[in-house]
Amino acid sequence: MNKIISLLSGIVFGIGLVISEMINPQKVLGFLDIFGNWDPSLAFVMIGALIISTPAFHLIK
Amino acid sequence: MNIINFTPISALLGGIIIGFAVLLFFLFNGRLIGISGIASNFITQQDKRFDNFLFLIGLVLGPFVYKILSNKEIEIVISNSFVLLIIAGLLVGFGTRISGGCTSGHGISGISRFSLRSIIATITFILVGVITVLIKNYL
Repeated sequence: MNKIISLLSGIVFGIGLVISEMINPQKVLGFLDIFGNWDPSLAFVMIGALIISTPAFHLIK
Repeated sequence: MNIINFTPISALLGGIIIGFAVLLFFLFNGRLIGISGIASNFITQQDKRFDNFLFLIGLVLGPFVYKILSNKEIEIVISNSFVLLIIAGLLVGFGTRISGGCTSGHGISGISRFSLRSIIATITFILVGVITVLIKNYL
Protein backbone atom coordinates (compact mmCIF):
# COMPACT_ATOMS: atom_id res chain seq x y z
CA MET A 1 0.00 0.00 0.00
CA ASN A 2 2.76 2.43 1.01
CA LYS A 3 4.56 1.59 -2.21
CA ILE A 4 1.55 2.43 -4.36
CA ILE A 5 0.96 5.67 -2.44
CA SER A 6 4.61 6.68 -2.86
CA LEU A 7 4.46 6.12 -6.61
CA LEU A 8 1.05 7.78 -6.90
CA SER A 9 2.03 10.89 -4.93
CA GLY A 10 5.13 11.18 -7.12
CA ILE A 11 2.99 11.02 -10.26
CA VAL A 12 0.45 13.52 -8.87
CA PHE A 13 3.27 15.87 -7.82
CA GLY A 14 4.78 15.57 -11.31
CA ILE A 15 1.43 16.34 -12.96
CA GLY A 16 1.12 19.41 -10.72
CA LEU A 17 4.56 20.56 -11.84
CA VAL A 18 3.65 20.16 -15.53
CA ILE A 19 0.28 21.90 -15.27
CA SER A 20 1.84 24.80 -13.36
CA GLU A 21 4.68 24.74 -15.96
CA MET A 22 7.23 24.59 -13.14
CA ILE A 23 9.14 21.92 -15.06
CA ASN A 24 10.10 24.70 -17.46
CA PRO A 25 13.23 26.43 -16.09
CA GLN A 26 12.23 29.55 -18.03
CA LYS A 27 9.14 29.95 -15.78
CA VAL A 28 11.24 29.72 -12.63
CA LEU A 29 13.81 32.17 -13.97
CA GLY A 30 10.95 34.51 -14.91
CA PHE A 31 9.78 34.50 -11.30
CA LEU A 32 13.24 35.51 -10.11
CA ASP A 33 13.51 38.33 -12.67
CA ILE A 34 11.48 40.75 -10.53
CA PHE A 35 13.28 43.84 -11.80
CA GLY A 36 13.00 42.84 -15.47
CA ASN A 37 10.25 40.80 -17.10
CA TRP A 38 8.56 39.38 -14.04
CA ASP A 39 6.41 36.25 -14.15
CA PRO A 40 4.67 35.88 -10.76
CA SER A 41 3.34 32.36 -11.58
CA LEU A 42 5.61 30.52 -9.11
CA ALA A 43 4.08 32.45 -6.21
CA PHE A 44 0.64 31.25 -7.31
CA VAL A 45 1.88 27.66 -7.41
CA MET A 46 3.02 27.98 -3.80
CA ILE A 47 -0.25 29.62 -2.79
CA GLY A 48 -2.19 26.81 -4.49
CA ALA A 49 -0.21 24.12 -2.68
CA LEU A 50 -0.42 25.93 0.66
CA ILE A 51 -4.21 26.34 0.38
CA ILE A 52 -4.46 22.55 0.49
CA SER A 53 -1.59 21.56 2.79
CA THR A 54 -1.87 24.25 5.49
CA PRO A 55 -5.44 23.55 6.69
CA ALA A 56 -4.88 19.81 6.26
CA PHE A 57 -1.76 19.67 8.44
CA HIS A 58 -3.35 21.76 11.15
CA LEU A 59 -6.54 19.70 11.16
CA ILE A 60 -4.67 16.40 11.27
CA LYS A 61 -2.39 17.44 14.18
CA MET B 1 9.18 45.91 -13.91
CA ASN B 2 6.99 44.35 -16.61
CA ILE B 3 4.73 41.41 -15.90
CA ILE B 4 4.93 38.90 -18.73
CA ASN B 5 4.02 35.25 -19.37
CA PHE B 6 1.92 35.27 -16.20
CA THR B 7 -0.28 32.16 -16.01
CA PRO B 8 -2.16 32.51 -12.71
CA ILE B 9 -4.88 29.92 -13.31
CA SER B 10 -2.66 27.03 -14.42
CA ALA B 11 -0.17 28.00 -11.68
CA LEU B 12 -2.86 27.90 -9.00
CA LEU B 13 -4.34 24.66 -10.35
CA GLY B 14 -0.92 22.97 -10.56
CA GLY B 15 -0.15 24.20 -7.04
CA ILE B 16 -3.39 22.72 -5.69
CA ILE B 17 -2.52 19.37 -7.31
CA ILE B 18 0.95 19.53 -5.70
CA GLY B 19 -0.74 20.27 -2.37
CA PHE B 20 -2.85 17.14 -2.73
CA ALA B 21 0.27 15.08 -3.55
CA VAL B 22 1.91 16.34 -0.34
CA LEU B 23 -1.24 15.53 1.62
CA LEU B 24 -1.60 12.05 0.12
CA PHE B 25 2.01 11.20 0.94
CA PHE B 26 1.66 12.52 4.49
CA LEU B 27 -1.64 10.75 5.22
CA PHE B 28 -0.43 7.32 4.15
CA ASN B 29 3.32 7.45 4.79
CA GLY B 30 3.39 9.85 7.74
CA ARG B 31 6.23 11.81 6.17
CA LEU B 32 6.43 15.26 4.63
CA ILE B 33 7.38 15.65 0.99
CA GLY B 34 10.56 17.44 0.16
CA ILE B 35 12.00 16.43 -3.18
CA SER B 36 15.60 17.06 -2.13
CA GLY B 37 15.05 15.22 1.14
CA ILE B 38 13.55 12.18 -0.55
CA ALA B 39 16.35 12.16 -3.15
CA SER B 40 18.94 12.43 -0.38
CA ASN B 41 17.36 9.68 1.75
CA PHE B 42 17.16 7.45 -1.30
CA ILE B 43 20.92 7.71 -1.72
CA THR B 44 22.08 7.75 1.89
CA GLN B 45 19.55 5.65 3.82
CA GLN B 46 18.61 1.98 3.63
CA ASP B 47 15.32 2.63 5.42
CA LYS B 48 12.34 3.10 3.08
CA ARG B 49 14.72 3.20 0.13
CA PHE B 50 12.25 1.56 -2.26
CA ASP B 51 9.43 3.93 -1.19
CA ASN B 52 11.65 6.91 -1.89
CA PHE B 53 12.71 5.41 -5.20
CA LEU B 54 9.08 4.89 -6.24
CA PHE B 55 8.23 8.50 -5.38
CA LEU B 56 11.11 9.78 -7.51
CA ILE B 57 10.10 7.48 -10.39
CA GLY B 58 6.52 8.75 -10.07
CA LEU B 59 7.77 12.31 -10.19
CA VAL B 60 9.50 11.65 -13.51
CA LEU B 61 6.52 9.65 -14.85
CA GLY B 62 4.02 12.40 -13.91
CA PRO B 63 4.69 14.59 -16.97
CA PHE B 64 4.40 11.56 -19.29
CA VAL B 65 1.11 10.55 -17.68
CA TYR B 66 -0.12 14.09 -18.16
CA LYS B 67 1.00 14.10 -21.78
CA ILE B 68 -0.88 10.85 -22.50
CA LEU B 69 -4.03 12.03 -20.70
CA SER B 70 -4.13 15.55 -22.14
CA ASN B 71 -2.50 15.05 -25.54
CA LYS B 72 -0.72 18.38 -25.07
CA GLU B 73 2.87 19.21 -25.92
CA ILE B 74 5.01 20.17 -22.95
CA GLU B 75 7.15 23.22 -23.48
CA ILE B 76 10.55 23.22 -21.82
CA VAL B 77 13.30 25.68 -22.66
CA ILE B 78 16.73 24.75 -21.34
CA SER B 79 19.24 27.34 -22.40
CA ASN B 80 22.31 26.29 -20.44
CA SER B 81 25.06 23.87 -21.33
CA PHE B 82 25.03 20.41 -19.78
CA VAL B 83 28.21 21.17 -17.86
CA LEU B 84 26.55 24.17 -16.23
CA LEU B 85 23.43 22.13 -15.49
CA ILE B 86 25.50 19.47 -13.70
CA ILE B 87 27.39 22.09 -11.67
CA ALA B 88 24.13 23.87 -10.82
CA GLY B 89 22.51 20.55 -9.85
CA LEU B 90 25.40 19.76 -7.50
CA LEU B 91 25.10 23.21 -5.92
CA VAL B 92 21.35 22.73 -5.42
CA GLY B 93 21.97 19.35 -3.80
CA PHE B 94 24.69 20.76 -1.56
CA GLY B 95 22.65 23.82 -0.55
CA THR B 96 19.45 21.94 0.13
CA ARG B 97 21.24 19.51 2.44
CA ILE B 98 22.79 22.38 4.40
CA SER B 99 19.43 24.14 4.68
CA GLY B 100 17.51 20.90 5.25
CA GLY B 101 15.03 21.43 2.45
CA CYS B 102 14.14 22.91 -0.90
CA THR B 103 11.22 24.64 -2.61
CA SER B 104 8.94 21.74 -1.75
CA GLY B 105 10.31 20.70 1.66
CA HIS B 106 10.63 24.19 3.10
CA GLY B 107 8.42 26.19 0.73
CA ILE B 108 5.36 23.94 0.92
CA SER B 109 5.64 21.34 3.68
CA GLY B 110 7.52 23.59 6.11
CA ILE B 111 5.57 26.80 5.57
CA SER B 112 2.23 25.00 5.86
CA ARG B 113 3.34 23.89 9.33
CA PHE B 114 4.37 27.50 10.11
CA SER B 115 7.99 26.45 10.65
CA LEU B 116 10.11 29.55 11.21
CA ARG B 117 13.19 27.78 9.81
CA SER B 118 11.29 27.01 6.60
CA ILE B 119 9.97 30.56 6.24
CA ILE B 120 13.50 31.94 6.63
CA ALA B 121 14.92 29.35 4.22
CA THR B 122 12.26 30.12 1.58
CA ILE B 123 12.75 33.88 1.81
CA THR B 124 16.51 33.35 1.61
CA PHE B 125 16.56 31.17 -1.51
CA ILE B 126 14.08 33.39 -3.34
CA LEU B 127 16.09 36.51 -2.43
CA VAL B 128 19.40 34.96 -3.48
CA GLY B 129 17.78 33.71 -6.69
CA VAL B 130 16.50 37.22 -7.47
CA ILE B 131 19.94 38.70 -6.81
CA THR B 132 21.60 36.03 -8.98
CA VAL B 133 19.27 36.73 -11.91
CA LEU B 134 19.77 40.47 -11.42
CA ILE B 135 23.56 40.10 -11.55
CA LYS B 136 23.39 37.76 -14.56
CA ASN B 137 21.01 39.95 -16.58
CA TYR B 138 22.15 43.45 -15.82
CA LEU B 139 25.84 43.44 -15.03
